[in-house]
Amino acid sequence: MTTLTDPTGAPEASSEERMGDARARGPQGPRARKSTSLRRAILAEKIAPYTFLLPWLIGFFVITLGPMLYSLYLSFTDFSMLAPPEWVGFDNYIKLFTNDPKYLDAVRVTVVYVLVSVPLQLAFALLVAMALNRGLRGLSLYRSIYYLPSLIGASVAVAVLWRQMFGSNGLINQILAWFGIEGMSWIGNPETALGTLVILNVWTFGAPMVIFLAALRQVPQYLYEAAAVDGIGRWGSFRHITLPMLSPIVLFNLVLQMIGAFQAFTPAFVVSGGTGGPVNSTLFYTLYLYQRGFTGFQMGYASAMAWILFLVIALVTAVNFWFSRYWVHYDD
Amino acid sequence: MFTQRNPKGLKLAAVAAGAAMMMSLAACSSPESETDSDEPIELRMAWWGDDVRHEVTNAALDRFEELNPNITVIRDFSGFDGYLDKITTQYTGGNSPDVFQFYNEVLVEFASRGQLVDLSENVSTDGWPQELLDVSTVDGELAAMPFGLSTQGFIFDNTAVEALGLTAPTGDYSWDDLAEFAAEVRSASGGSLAGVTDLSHGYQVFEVWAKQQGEDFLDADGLAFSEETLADYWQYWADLRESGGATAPDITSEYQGTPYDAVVAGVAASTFLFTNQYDGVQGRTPNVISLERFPGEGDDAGQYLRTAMNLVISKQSKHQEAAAKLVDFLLNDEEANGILGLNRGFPANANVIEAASAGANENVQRAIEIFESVRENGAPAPVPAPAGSGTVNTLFAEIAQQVQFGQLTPADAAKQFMAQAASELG
Repeated sequence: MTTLTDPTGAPEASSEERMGDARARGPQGPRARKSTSLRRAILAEKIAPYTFLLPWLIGFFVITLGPMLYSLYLSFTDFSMLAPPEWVGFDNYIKLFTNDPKYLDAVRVTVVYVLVSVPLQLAFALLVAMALNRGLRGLSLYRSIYYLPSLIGASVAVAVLWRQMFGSNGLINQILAWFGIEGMSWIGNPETALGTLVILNVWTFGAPMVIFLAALRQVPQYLYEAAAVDGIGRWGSFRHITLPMLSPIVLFNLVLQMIGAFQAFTPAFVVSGGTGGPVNSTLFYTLYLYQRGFTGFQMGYASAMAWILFLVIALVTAVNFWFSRYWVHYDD
Repeated sequence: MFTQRNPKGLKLAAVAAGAAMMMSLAACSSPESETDSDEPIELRMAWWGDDVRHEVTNAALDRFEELNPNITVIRDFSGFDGYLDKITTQYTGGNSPDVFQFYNEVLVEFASRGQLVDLSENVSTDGWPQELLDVSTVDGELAAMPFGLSTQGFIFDNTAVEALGLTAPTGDYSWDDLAEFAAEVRSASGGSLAGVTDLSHGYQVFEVWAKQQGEDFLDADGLAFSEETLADYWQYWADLRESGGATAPDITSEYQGTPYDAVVAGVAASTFLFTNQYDGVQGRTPNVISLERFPGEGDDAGQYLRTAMNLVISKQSKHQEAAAKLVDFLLNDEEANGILGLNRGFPANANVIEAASAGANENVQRAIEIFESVRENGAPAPVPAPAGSGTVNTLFAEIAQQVQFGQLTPADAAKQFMAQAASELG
């Protein structure tokens, strides 16, 4: 973009600038018209991008930022939704950490869910991507089929299906019966209920898989060839070539999936019937937030929980990025 | 590129676009002015239920619209899941329905915050038993009117039980009789059929137990029962789990919200429900399901005539008079009750009971029998649950579950519950 400077004081104008001046000159004569139409042109060029951004900006301020700030305000109040909010200062935050054992349960369940399901899902996604990268016929068909679950995975319909499948009379037990194994109620047992939700998250591996697949294709072939010449094995080439070359993508997927996993709600809500599972074993953070807010008529308290989640996710993401310097290898 | 062409026109377009977007964002709820009763009025009514209820309610509303040509009723019906959240959210947004169906447990939360209209001003209460009106009176105002009465009941899968060579309890039977029956069912079926679903997490079942001991579950001041009663209750179910009569904990938690589904699925031989659910449950299984009163009802009856659901008018309604007309029609009009039938339970207004009971099938007749027997021999209905009771009910189920999975003993659990519940209500 040409920087249009005021030619009246410029020591030496470039040819571009002089061309711009010429165009900015109106019919009345050079000097009189120059500054105003120049300024208009500068202004217009500066405003133009914001005009295009306006719809998104309005949406951001009105639908995202505005409500976020309001919820920050609410987190310092006692708000039953049926009466105006009453200011209580830090009471909500204090109660969360000192007088709410169920809150700590919810944190524990969510952390376990994130730490178990995300690595599993990514490992699975990478595995399938590598399998598909061998140049199978019908690759695009497989890719689409594997991607499909991640589109519908977080939906109510799939969660209802999952509840049926893992129930005492469900599909999983029927299949196990063919092998003579007696199944149990996977969703009714506190030791396995969370496992069914982890499986659900791993089942939606399609989205990271597609990204891994694309990244795998970017790894230059000559690296593998050179390594083969050196006599490196399959595992060696995976560990020393594929993984390092893929590490930025792994970071990307890791961060994205962790952010999503912290906020998981629908599967837990549907599979546990809104209760948080047998003995709080599927009480995800957002589910407890929902219970406090809507069933307990304590929206201020729930807002405090929401802001803590926001800060934790931001912190975890920052830590992820900080640690990435040790294992992410950027191709320069 | 465009800057040199027509900067002026572009700025104009930008301002115009921005203005258009600003205007389209302005929340457009034009304030309605209710002046003349002949002005066309739009009411919104919300309720939950199954398809049968939707059918009869819509038919009744159609009739109301016929009789009141200037009033249109916009209907909002759905299942029960998420109903409370929907209503609460609509209240916060200022667009709650004018008239809606509501349940007892959350009545006080709304009424005590002045969100419900006093119905005694505009709706006739002729033919209503005074004690029912008292039960729905909060802070001196008639916040709701019962939209269907029912009572508790216990169902037995006769077909399955008789196939095992046993007979289900009938009439007057004790809790011990039930325990014995359940253990027999489990052993006779070789372990595949539980005698009864584990009901230790059901505060509505515990309520009847407590009333049978002369206590109550919750009253206006909070917990209305002793720790011992609760410990005994949980101990009873712990014993039943041990003997095998009750369902295993993981099965119980699977059917936690709808225990009668366990009977329909053939997992248990008996459970509790409310009499207005009996018809639907029997319709879902070819087995013969019998309906009896609770165990232990004989001399110290704990069952009571329970408001299954209420009809309320929102304080935010801009057409309170028209809304009251609709409520009056649905509750007191014979024709309306003939259309609505007994799907929600018994009408509270004695004058319309006959019209509503016309054409009741044999299942509903049986429910009426139980209902009448409780009317003759039952406990008084409890007052509306205090604010915060929603959390207490959830707490009850949670702690009971810990006992079910062996994480707490009944005695410890009762102690824990009393302490935590008091802090939630206090």
